[in-house]
Amino acid sequence: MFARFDATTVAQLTANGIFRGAAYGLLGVGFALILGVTGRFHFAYSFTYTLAAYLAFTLRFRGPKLPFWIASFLGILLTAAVGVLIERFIYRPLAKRAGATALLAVFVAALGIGIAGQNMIALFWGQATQAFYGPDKKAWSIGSTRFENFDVWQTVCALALVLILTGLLRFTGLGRAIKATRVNPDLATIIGINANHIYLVCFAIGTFLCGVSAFWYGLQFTVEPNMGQRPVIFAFVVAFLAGTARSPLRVFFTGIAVALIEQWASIWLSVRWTQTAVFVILVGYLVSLSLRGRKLADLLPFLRPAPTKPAAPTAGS
Amino acid sequence: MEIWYNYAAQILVFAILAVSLNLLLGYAGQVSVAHASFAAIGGYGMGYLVQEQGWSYLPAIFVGIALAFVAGLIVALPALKLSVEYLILLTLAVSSVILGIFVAFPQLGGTYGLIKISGNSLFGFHLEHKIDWLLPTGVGLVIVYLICWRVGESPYGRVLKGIREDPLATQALGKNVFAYKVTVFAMTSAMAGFGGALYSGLLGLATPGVYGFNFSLTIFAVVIFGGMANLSGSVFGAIIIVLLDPFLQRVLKLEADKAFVIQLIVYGVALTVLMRLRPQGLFPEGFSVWRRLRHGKQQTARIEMNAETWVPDLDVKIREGDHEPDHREQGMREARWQDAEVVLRARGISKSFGGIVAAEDLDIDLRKGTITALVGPNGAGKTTVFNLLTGFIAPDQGSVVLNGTELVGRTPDAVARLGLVRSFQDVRLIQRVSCLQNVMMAVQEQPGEHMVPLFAGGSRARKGEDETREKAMGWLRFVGMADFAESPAGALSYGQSKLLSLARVLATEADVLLLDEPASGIDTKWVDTMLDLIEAVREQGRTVCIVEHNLHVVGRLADHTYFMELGRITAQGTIDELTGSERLAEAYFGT
Amino acid sequence: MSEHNENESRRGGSRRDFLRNAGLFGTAAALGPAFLAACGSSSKGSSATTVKGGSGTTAAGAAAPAGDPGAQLAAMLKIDAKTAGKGVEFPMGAVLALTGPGSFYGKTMSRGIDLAVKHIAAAGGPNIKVTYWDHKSGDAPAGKQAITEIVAKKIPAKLASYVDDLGAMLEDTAKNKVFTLDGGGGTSIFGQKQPYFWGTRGITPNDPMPGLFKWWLENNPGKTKVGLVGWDIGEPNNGIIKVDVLAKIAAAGMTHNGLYELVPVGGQDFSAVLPKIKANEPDLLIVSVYGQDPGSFANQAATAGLKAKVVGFEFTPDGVNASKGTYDKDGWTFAYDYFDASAPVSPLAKLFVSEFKAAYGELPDFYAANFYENTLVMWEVIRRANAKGGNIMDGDVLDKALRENLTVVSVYGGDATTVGTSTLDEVTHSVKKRPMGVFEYKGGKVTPKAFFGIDAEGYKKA
Repeated sequence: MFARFDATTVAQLTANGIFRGAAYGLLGVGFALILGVTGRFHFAYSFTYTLAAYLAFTLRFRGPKLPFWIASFLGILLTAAVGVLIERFIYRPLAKRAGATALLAVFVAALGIGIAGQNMIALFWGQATQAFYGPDKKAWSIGSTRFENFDVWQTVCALALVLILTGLLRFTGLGRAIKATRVNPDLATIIGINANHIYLVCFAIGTFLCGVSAFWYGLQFTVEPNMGQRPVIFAFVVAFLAGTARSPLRVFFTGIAVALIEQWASIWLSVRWTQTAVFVILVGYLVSLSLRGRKLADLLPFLRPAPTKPAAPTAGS
Repeated sequence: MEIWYNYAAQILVFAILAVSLNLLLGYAGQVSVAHASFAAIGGYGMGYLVQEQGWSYLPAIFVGIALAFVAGLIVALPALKLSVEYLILLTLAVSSVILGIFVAFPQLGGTYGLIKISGNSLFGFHLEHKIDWLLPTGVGLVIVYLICWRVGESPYGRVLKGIREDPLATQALGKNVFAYKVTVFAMTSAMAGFGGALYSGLLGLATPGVYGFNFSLTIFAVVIFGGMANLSGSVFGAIIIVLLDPFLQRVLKLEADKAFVIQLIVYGVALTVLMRLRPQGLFPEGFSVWRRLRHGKQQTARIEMNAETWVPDLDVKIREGDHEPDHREQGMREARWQDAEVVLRARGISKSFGGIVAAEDLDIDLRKGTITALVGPNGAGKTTVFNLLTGFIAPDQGSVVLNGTELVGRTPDAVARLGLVRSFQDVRLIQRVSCLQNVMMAVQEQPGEHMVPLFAGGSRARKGEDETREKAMGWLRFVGMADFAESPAGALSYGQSKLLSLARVLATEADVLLLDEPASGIDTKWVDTMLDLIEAVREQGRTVCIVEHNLHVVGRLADHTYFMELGRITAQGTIDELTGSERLAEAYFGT
Repeated sequence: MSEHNENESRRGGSRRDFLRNAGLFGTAAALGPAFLAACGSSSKGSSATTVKGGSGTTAAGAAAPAGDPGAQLAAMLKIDAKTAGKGVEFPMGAVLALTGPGSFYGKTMSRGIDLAVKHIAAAGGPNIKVTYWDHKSGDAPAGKQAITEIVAKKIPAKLASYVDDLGAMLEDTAKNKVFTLDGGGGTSIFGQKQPYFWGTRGITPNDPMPGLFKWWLENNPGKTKVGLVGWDIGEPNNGIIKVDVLAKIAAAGMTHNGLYELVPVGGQDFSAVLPKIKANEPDLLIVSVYGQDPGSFANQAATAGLKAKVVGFEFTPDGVNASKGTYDKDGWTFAYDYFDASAPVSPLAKLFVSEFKAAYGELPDFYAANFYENTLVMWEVIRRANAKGGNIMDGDVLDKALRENLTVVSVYGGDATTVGTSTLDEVTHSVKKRPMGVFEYKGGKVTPKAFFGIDAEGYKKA
């Protein structure tokens, strides 16, 4: 099963990894921002992903027939608004009511929104693939490494957005408020930050990034009701591997690293195994996370003889 | 009719899977989305043996269960320390990997899976039609339900609920949280394997598609719908989710090409709406249809505590009048402290977090039948000392010896079982269970907390439970909270919860108690009585160490006082000696 | 040598099963992209038993106008009114991918069925009452539920796809003698030699390969290096297909260059596999993926600057959309028993195409044609049973009626005046004789390149 691999192949795989990784990374950044700051396990991320592509498609080719870029941008903005509405009218009241178990409650509701949303899209737009065409695709190359114009645009766009977000977090008052909320929402409230507003902002930004990613995906692949499932699982993987409270740049480059692993793995593995390889690495990472700083003996306490209590104390009443 | 037998058998299988997941999710609070993967292991294991090896169902089902149990054990080990979101992700990844492994084996049919699992018999009955499966799946559900009910509603289940609400507090009471988690995970995995084996038998199939992520989410949804920690709710949820399908087709007469899409929309919307309107599920925890039918709606009125109703059951007499610190008495107490036998001896304890020194070279002695206080300004590291002594934080160096046993290197629950128990500044009660249950949880060495007595101990578990209840009621009376025995801990006021927390610590019957700000937040008119309680504990010969800000409290209680600044003990003696020092007063009050 | 060949071809026949094709799998693969596709309930139940079709519109009498499709059909098939079964209500099941990623297939198939049901009734045949079940694009429990209900309702026959929902229904089909025709995926490894189950389409990529190679070598002499990219459909199927593919490559005088890459079903991103292809580039690249995947592959292969000629085994609108214009711009070559609606050959094919266009406003595709044809075959079998006085409500009787003569009516083949036929294999239950060919789609138009049968039988250039 060993492919003949050489510098050309490796260079191509590396380029692929960077381009695909930019998409994973951008999605991961959006998800990490939402989970890291608001603590919502936003499983409906896959729904907003799909919705962005469908709205852009509809504004361009159905109804208003707007120019391509305007339609796409509007579609993404509308989706960001949907993300905000989900937080405002579903997650927030739910989390308030659920209190300590908010994470689970939000997860379940998000699951519900994801399932219902995807199928509503299937019901309204039909289940077939939609022809989402934009500007002409062009094949570019550097040496023997080849790629599409869309690959480059997407990567540049993703990097620019991540840099803007990083700058926003680092240099603006809003960014500092977001970071303060991420560290401790209660404390942030005490110093006059409205955590609820910050949450909405995070949903707007996160969903916007998700929509941008979906837009590029739709341009290169297909627009269909279940298009959101696989990319979004990778967004989760990327966000968790990087750490949800980390800087967007770190999450972004983790996305590229995951895609590079996936691509390079194909040198040694059949392509059908590369995705499983990513999950194996993820499991390995989570295992190491849970074992960190523990001795084997800590893990297997029930194998040690239980210490006996020295003396029976006198009972209370 | 065959169609309805099929639905009925499906309900039974779904109920098996949902009830077992409920023990894991509802009682123990472990959010796993990999339940279907363990069912897959049971289904594939059974299917392979029946289809390819010609085994009969019974031994094949047992092998399926055993395989699922082992797999559950392996997955549970790393799942130990992960927070909820990481556990979701881990189980998601694990289910992908498990199915990926199945697809890889040609013997298991690859992508198509095993599709001819049939034509065999169970206990001599040939299982041919769907109706033949009603008996085995029905018996299976009864067995699984009884096991889950037995575990969930026993002292074992009480600990699981503790883990669900607050693993740290549970560990602090001497429960080996890790062992519980691993056991319950492996056990529910085995039951999932059982359900999977029955499901594959019923369908005649074990394919990757059958046990995909969607199936996991379906079972998950059944548990949420039915209500967490309510087993009959899960059975009810299974009925609803299975019958939704024929309902949409036959009653609403949806077109075939829309029905499934609409069904999923209904599921999704129902889940979301349910979380919004009734997050506890259709049957909330503790709700019983039978009880409701027999007794009607129960009101759990919130009882207000006031000075009249609050009658602590003290052996010692509550002193009237002047509670001002008596200087001479303090000297006597210090002398008594010096004479008492050292129960806990900490030497050279140090801990730093990435360069920040939290504790440096601490020497602390706690002596039998005395109260030692730890005072110091905010951020001095007093609570950290409790964490270091009880194993919640491992010291970088130093030793802690309790009655001749070295504690450093032991887990907090082991430390608690050795007789060193701490309370928390923020109380950390198990909110959703009753006050009595909170205290019962703290009682040590209950037979019902172990699997063997629970299932093979005859009446041992029941007798043990009666004794535990007796003891716990005794401690509730001791702190004057007997009237609140059945109220959920979450309904208490802050002061009440402090009292309950004290009762819980006392119920461990530990030799040494570390109390973190026991009197803070309590209505001032009851502070003295709280202090009387602590003194009463001292009278019982127990060793107490308190962290306290209120110098009035320290002066009243402490036999000996350590003064801490920036992770170091800078002075010790009577509280008068310490407050007499200008430098210390300045350090303390920051003037 | 000839004896060896015959032997080979017989063995080939038993292996030719391999799979599937197109209609099938969709996303059955567990890890496949259809991650949440059936979220919430993949495991239970069938869906829906809504009765469509079964229209009992006016039957065509002898005096019907020549333009009446019923009369035309009756004339073409030389219907004997005595055995036609006029007015009899005949229940038939159809278990299709009505929802999920393969719903495109279910939609077009059901159109073909509905049209045939109307035509049959109008031609003086039975009122076929079709009950549809949804197998949710390859959900095995849904198929199980469907077959349970079919048996419970005592329905003697059904049309199926996805190799009878990925094999899940085969056993109950045989046990309960439900006469079944699968024109979506045909038979497969596990679908071959299954009692009462017949696959009525060619098996891809294997069946058209000899003809494809012949066409290729004719136009590109000496360029014999061939490689393959295909869906990973699990072991042992992958291995069995590979053995047959390699044998066919060798038999055609081609050489396998070692490239044999399996990719996940429905994984549209081929970026990891393309560099591997480029590192070992063949002259001819066989791409055995289906649904949207061929379109995505063509699109990415064009970007990657692949020089090898890419040939696929399916052509669908989903593929066109997924190709993002590459099909139209660079062309898409495919080899299978494609139904060329733009140039129907026989009178039956012409009638079908014009009627389909009138009913649905677009030209029929391969799957619509196959299921139209299957429904006509069902009627043919009913007529044979009637002629012998058998009980048509018994699947066993229908199966025996088919076995009497395995050559049945087809919308494929034939000529300007003769209705074509298709022949099934008595042992494998797959097709033995069926017209197929190499075609190219470009700029919105399909052009035939060569016609042939299984094993390149009767090869001729277009």
